[in-house]
Amino acid sequence: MRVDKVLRGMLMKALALAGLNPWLTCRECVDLVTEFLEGALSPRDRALVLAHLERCPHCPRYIRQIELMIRLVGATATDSDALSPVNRAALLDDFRRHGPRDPDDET
Amino acid sequence: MSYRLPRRSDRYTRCAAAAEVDAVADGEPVKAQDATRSALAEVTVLERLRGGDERAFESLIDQHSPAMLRLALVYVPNLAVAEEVVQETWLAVVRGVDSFQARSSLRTWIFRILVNRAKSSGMAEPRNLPLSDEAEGDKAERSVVDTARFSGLPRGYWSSPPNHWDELPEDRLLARETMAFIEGAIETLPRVQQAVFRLRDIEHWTSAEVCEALGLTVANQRVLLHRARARMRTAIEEYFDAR
Repeated sequence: MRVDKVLRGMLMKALALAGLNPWLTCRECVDLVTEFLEGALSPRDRALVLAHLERCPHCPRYIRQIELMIRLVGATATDSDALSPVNRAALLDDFRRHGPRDPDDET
Repeated sequence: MSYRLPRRSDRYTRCAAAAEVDAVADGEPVKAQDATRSALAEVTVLERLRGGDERAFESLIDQHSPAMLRLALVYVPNLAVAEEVVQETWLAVVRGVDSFQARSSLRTWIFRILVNRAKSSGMAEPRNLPLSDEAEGDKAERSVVDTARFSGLPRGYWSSPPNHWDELPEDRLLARETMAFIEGAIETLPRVQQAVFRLRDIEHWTSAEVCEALGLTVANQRVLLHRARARMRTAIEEYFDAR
């Protein structure tokens, strides 16, 4: 980790201890993560999150892990895609009979 | 079988670190293009269905049935009932496709039928799932990570920060055992959270589509997704912590 980042992180915590931190806390940052990733934050909140991420040694990892989790979950999906839960013959039969082309002969 | 990680270029995983965050905006036009292309494809499919094209119907069945089955399982007690719900949904699609007004997309319409049917089938024999936070999207309380992890001094900063599981080698992350654990963890999510999570992060639907299919407000959908993702991250962290 870069030295300047460590120093900025320490400064952030020191200011927070003195009750002066102008940035978000980690907890606030974590609570905004989904809105941040969705691009749904106001410019001001987005700037606050970015400012926090520049200084915090842990929250960037939290976001990376959320993203990695999503990729891992995506990797599981391939597994059961071979499922064929429908009775295809019956559906096609039904499609032929109730096919929407001929709304008139639905007697 | 072996597992592969979806590529990092995937639109959901682009902003990997604070430094890369601004690159996110670069991806927007791609997303828009994708949307236009799939909207065009959908119009074609719809026309073919209405024209009685069996092939179009078959490929629609193949394309959506697995995801429909998994989503139905969120609401109903067992596989047999879920399969029945999927089958009934397709029958309803056949009957309704002519009067379907393309105000929503075809797939959100199909999935909304599915969810409504699954809900009414599930009502008879509720599955043993945590129901307590069914309406949790409305709750004011928002923190999704155990507050004890921020309890040091100064308050609100990580006292027990995320461990480093993201640095594990890929073969560890993608081990069959890990995948099985993750699948199990998804199944323990509360139902609406689970439905949102599956559609957003597994099927890669947009938030607008999910809102439409599940009848949620944008804000509600986002809170549910937020909770589901946080739970999943924590579950994986604890899983790797324990070994």
